Amino acid sequence: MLGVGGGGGGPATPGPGVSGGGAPPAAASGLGGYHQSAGQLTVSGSGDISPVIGGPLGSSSGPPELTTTDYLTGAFLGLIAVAAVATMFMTAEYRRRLIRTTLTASPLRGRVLAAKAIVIGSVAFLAGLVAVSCAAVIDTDVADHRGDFVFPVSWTTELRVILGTAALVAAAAVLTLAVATIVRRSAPAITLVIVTVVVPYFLSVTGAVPAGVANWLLRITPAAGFALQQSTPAYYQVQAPYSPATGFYPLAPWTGFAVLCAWTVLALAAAAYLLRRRDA
Amino acid sequence: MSQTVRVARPEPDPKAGRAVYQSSAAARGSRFPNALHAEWTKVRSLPGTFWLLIAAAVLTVGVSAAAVAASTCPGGGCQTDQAKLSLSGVQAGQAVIVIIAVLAISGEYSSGMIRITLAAMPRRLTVLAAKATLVFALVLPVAVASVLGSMLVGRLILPVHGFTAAPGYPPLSLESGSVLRATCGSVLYLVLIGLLSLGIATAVRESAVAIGVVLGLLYVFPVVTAVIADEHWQRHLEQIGPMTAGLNIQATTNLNILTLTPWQGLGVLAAWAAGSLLLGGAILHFRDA
Repeated sequence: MLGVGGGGGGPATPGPGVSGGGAPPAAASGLGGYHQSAGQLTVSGSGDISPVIGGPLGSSSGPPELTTTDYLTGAFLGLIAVAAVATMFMTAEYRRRLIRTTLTASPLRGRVLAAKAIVIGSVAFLAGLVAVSCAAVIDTDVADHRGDFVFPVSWTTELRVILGTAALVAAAAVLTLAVATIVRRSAPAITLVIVTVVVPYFLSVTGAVPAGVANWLLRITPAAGFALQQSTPAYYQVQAPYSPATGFYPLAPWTGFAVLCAWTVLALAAAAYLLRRRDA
Repeated sequence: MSQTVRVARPEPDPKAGRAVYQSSAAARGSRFPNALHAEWTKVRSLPGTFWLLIAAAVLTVGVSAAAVAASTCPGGGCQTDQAKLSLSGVQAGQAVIVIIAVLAISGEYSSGMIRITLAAMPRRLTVLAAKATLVFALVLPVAVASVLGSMLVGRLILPVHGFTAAPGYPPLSLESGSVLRATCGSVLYLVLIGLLSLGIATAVRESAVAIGVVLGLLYVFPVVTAVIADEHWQRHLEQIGPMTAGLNIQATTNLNILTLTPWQGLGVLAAWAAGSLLLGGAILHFRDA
């Protein structure tokens, strides 16, 4: 049980639930309550027991309980910046006609594309990892100093969120590189990537579209990769507005990342085909 | 013995010099109508512009249709703002408007044509003013078509999904003052987004980076507002964000919970557009192209 000492985590349960302060022993009055003695906590009541839902939903009566994920909301801005770099990585060669030198020095065009993808993916992953780690550390520190309650999640979940956000940025960078190779001009490339990766995330998180549309957007577009940022699971037995606007994504974290990777692989395959077939 | 012959040269007449300058070809080209004509020639000879304008309209109406088709109003009534729901496609179409405006200037930088443009029209602020007028003239009809199309889609589809007169949702009609305000305001919103993008692209010069900066600027305020818990900061961020303030113009119900009145919100976006044009103009004026 979490936060029991302060008036209950307020799980959305029917029945008396857990109320603040010590209550008389349950057996005598039939009411719910908790009772602490000698380092032992006894909770009693009737009804269903359910976990507390974290995230912006918070408890049924309390303030939003933010997790470290909510502090990583700026990842989409970093993703836009990395996408701009990845676009220029490819289109600058076309604009300055360096592509001729590159393909003369390395006639195996698939190898050129693979090398570019590996380089930009690694650089984006490292940059994303550094940025996300710093954000998580600084934000948790600031929250501690302000006395805000940071909803605790297991360290494996936090590691998954941090590594996952960096992987998301890296996959988006490789996707941008592939799209830039296909269209060869920077403006359409970055717009396609922003429209397919950032805009669905943005429309869903800000509640600009209804939850049904948001769930479908976050299933089929590359923005499904943002599911890696979900840190609290949705409990089927608790009724709550589970939607991307409150931090709950329709796909499981790694399933969402797999959707993003599938789009990236598809784009890379198309880019490799076009790069080899077309005149540079 | 040689004598120095002095030849009397007339004093250079400063007014004559200016008269020569003002009648030279470059100065003639710098006049605003000529600059506007030049910009129009450049834009209409690009094959991509027409398709981008079509794409903006199609995307706006399409996303509005999707949003409207996905929402229902159960018989007991709902809190939805009909006009705002029908106009939700504007948030998607604005991305294409951003591209159109950015390409209007950064296309010149990437192809190197900016040198010819500024050689032919040395008055750089005239060039920027001509580009701004052209972006206005290009975006306005597209915005009108998109917004009217979205409203039409809303009027046709919403009554089928439960938004009937009984729970208080008469069909969308431009006769209603607030709906008319939302419609005209959304058209102005798209135009101002175009001008904001033009200013930032003039400052930044690279198309991909400019598009990233503009879209990042537009999206950062709503996302951060959705996540932070401090109401004071939420309110202020919503008031100063270009997109969050600008979209207030679309609200027709629950006006008392808005952080700014609709026209005030559009005024904030207008201030952002004016500021970005000033910044772009200053950078264009003082920097080597």
